[in-house]
Amino acid sequence: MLIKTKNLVKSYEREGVSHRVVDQVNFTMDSGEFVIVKGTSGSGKTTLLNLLSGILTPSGGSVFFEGNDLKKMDDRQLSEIRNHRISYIPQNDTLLSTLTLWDNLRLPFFLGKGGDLTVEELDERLERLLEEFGLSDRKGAYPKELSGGEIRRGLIIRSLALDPDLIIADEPTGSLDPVTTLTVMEKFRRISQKGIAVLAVSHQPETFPFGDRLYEMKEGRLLPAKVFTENRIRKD
Amino acid sequence: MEKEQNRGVRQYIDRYAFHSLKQKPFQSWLLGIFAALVAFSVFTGTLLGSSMRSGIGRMKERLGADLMIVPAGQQEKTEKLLLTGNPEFSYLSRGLEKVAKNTKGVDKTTSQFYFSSVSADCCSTRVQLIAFDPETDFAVLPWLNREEMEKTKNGQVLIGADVIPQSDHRIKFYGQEHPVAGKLSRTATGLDQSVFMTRDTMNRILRDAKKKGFHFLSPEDKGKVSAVLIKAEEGTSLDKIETTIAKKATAEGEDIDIVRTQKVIGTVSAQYDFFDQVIRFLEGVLMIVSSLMLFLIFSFSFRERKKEFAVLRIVGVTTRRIRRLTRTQGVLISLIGGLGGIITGAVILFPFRVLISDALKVPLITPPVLFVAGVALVALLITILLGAAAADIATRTLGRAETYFTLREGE
Repeated sequence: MLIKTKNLVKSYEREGVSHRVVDQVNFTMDSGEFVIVKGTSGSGKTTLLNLLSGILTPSGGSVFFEGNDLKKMDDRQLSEIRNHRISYIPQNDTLLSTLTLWDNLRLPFFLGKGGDLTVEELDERLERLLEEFGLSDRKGAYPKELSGGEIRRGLIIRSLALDPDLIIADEPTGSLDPVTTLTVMEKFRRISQKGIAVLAVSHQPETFPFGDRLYEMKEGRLLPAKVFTENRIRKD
Repeated sequence: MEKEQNRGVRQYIDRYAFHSLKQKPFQSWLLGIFAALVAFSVFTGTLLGSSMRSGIGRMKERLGADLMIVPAGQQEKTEKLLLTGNPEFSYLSRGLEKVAKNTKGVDKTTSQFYFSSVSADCCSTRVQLIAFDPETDFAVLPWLNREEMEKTKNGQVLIGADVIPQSDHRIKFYGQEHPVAGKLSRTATGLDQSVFMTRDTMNRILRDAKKKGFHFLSPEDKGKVSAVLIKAEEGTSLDKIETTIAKKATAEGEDIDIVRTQKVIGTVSAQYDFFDQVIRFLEGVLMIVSSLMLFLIFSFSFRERKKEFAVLRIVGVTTRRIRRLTRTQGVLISLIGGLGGIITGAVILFPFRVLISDALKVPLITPPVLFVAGVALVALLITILLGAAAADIATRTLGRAETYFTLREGE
């Protein structure tokens, strides 16, 4: 089991009243799985993703990554996991405006623990990914010079840079046109076929069939919606 | 550590820090200015205090005498002469030197004669001229080396630290050029604008002055002097000597004043104490205000960069490394600002030393280069430490839970 949650709860106080944004979520994921979570705005999807990536601490229950409780880890251990084990792609543009695309892609390696790669291996890997995602000629550009689609692809490359075990993506196709949306989802499907688990939040129905399993987040609860057996078969 | 060396992490962090500062030029300038103020206040405050202390110390050494007998009514003028080099002259009988010498508790006596050059074609510059008696002098000769001493005794003149001779090392008084035997070290007193010579040389200059129409005193009247300098025996009461000499002088029909050099120094010391306190106070205020401003601007700047820090957190950068990043920016900005502050301090302090000394009425001696370099280094280190600490504290105040909320802002 790559990641597992047990009775996961996250509550916030609002005007003196406690609100459960994530309510008793029990969920597991294996390597190579592609899971999509749908849900209306405010249903708790993003909070769930932040709990899974260790950015937020649960109010109750636990998140286990490879059997280890994230709640019991210190900042260094959690940072290490976020650096090259669980890659998190937030909903909005999180490329740093002061750095070129190339320096943004190298950021997790240079400022984080960086895994076991050497600089040469990293650069080689990034060059390959840029080529694969059609951004080879844009690596010297600053984020303000990139289109929305290019930024999305840049974020996916950044998430893949250090060969993670799990990619968590919050509405990765939210601001993209239909063609780019399908291209990005196809990329995620291929990534999962290579053994990397992908958990994506989406509210676009055309993206759902790309996943192996579909969940729905409703008032903080995670409910199974559909299993796409054909994808499983295709992957096998 | 190995990873850092192999992967060029340090260079990446430096480049990253520099780019972030470049992105916010106004804030970076403000930070630089306050860092410069910290360095400026430490550098100039320390050097000014040290220059004043050295100036007063050197003044004590160079005045040499404990008491000076001067014509009645000349006490204030003599003090002025010692401090500013502004010449005012009247004379008394040289016989008083013998009177003083025979007073109990007096170790040494010597006499000096003061006159001046004029601002006219006949003279290189208007300075105070001081003639001493090489047989008895204890105020000028001890500061000379053997060669300078010989040359001076053979008719050459000695110039104070601020007197500029002609290019051929000569100086002209009343139409005649005189070779310069040497330059005395700085005292930061009126003595720096003075030219020293033996009485024989003085007599020649007085004759030249007379030819040009300046009548200071008849060269033939060897019985007159401007001041008698007295060095008391160790442990003797100056009050007693003063009273005895005053009585004897009155008996001889001489109307005199007795100047205590210690009093002159005491006045300057009191001024020094006052300015030292003012400087320390201003230095302290500037440092506190600048440090506070550094912290506030860093806090403001980091709040604007919350999203950037949130991104760093999600790609797995530890809070410790984020603090290292912001500290690097603190160091970078305070290094640049600090250097600017020190250079500004040096540009103000050194070329305008004489003006500052005149304005404060306290002698200033520039400390040795190594000391100045040491103070500059300490000022820079303090500035860098403050800058790094301000950046570090500002980062800590941002808090850890911000990441999630920052990322959701604007959704």
